[in-house]
Amino acid sequence: MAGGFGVGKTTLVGSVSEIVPLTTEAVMTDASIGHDDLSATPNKTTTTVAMDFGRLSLDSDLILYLFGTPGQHRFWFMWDDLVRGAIGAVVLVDTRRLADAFAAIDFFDDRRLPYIVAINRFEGVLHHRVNDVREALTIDQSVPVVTCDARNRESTKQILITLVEHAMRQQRTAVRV
Amino acid sequence: MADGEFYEPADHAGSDIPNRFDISGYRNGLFGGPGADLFGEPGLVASDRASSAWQRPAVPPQQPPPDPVTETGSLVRPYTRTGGRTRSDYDLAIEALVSTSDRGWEMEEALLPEHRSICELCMDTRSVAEVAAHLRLPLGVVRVLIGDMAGMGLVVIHSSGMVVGDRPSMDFLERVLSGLRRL
Repeated sequence: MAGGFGVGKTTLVGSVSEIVPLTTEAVMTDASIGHDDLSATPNKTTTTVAMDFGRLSLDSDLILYLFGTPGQHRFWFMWDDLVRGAIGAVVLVDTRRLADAFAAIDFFDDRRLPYIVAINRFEGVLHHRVNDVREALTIDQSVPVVTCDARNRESTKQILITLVEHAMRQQRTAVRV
Repeated sequence: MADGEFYEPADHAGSDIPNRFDISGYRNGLFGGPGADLFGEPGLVASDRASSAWQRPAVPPQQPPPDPVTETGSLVRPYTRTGGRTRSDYDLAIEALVSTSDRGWEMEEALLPEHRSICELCMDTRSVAEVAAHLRLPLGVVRVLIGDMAGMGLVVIHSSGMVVGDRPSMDFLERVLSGLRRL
């Protein structure tokens, strides 16, 4: 689950997770130098990056984990970890801040990770038409763009189904080529 | 920096007992870099690392090993718990499932509090990420700890066995899809 800060990633994870979303942390050290303003805290050499995740048991021996990516760009070192072995990604967007999604889309395009775009309907209002969003994000026609309510379990379940179906389609296409 | 100090570091990987706060392998930790496993391309931060604060050892030399600490949010540097090592022999995915082995259940082998905690947690199968979250330890630290424990036979790491290259196999995706539809 990727997307800008405050777009509802943790809400989305929490809506289907069977556990209260947990937070895992990684320690970041020198990578922050040059990004963080360290002048106010000259002794600070480490920063902790938090990442929320939830769990969904699909079968007795099948557990799906949903990870919310840390939003800020400088935390991308964690994304590589997440992409490895992942089924795919959901880029959650707020139409009032579409640009927040560009970085995530570029990243998944680059890593060839299947992804879908989910437009979070804040307070139930869809501010822009789906096609406008697709155009603004300039994503491939094959990438599904759907609307959702991040708080709603059924809605999130549908998103996950759409993503897995898309990943399967993409894999079939890749085999044929 | 005085290279001579670290001229012939002991090969840490050959050490029998992990997590004994053995600083002889600290040079590995220095240039492998704590968090090196987190940064992806090693080349990207190599120059930064040379001038980084990590030139300091995680455990100062000649100091007796600190008492293992179980509380979280402590003053102990995170990688102290791994003796400064940032890599394990196992390539553990963040979502890899871990469960306590028969040997781990007895827990007599688990001398370290961290190992005991992980044995207790993983009596129900859990992912590496969950263990890290519950113990409130950084992911990198937990990866090393779990890797050690797998080497000692205290835990079993379950592989999905359904990944082709970097991506899940079609059979696996079908199972996930039908699982999601059943929800």
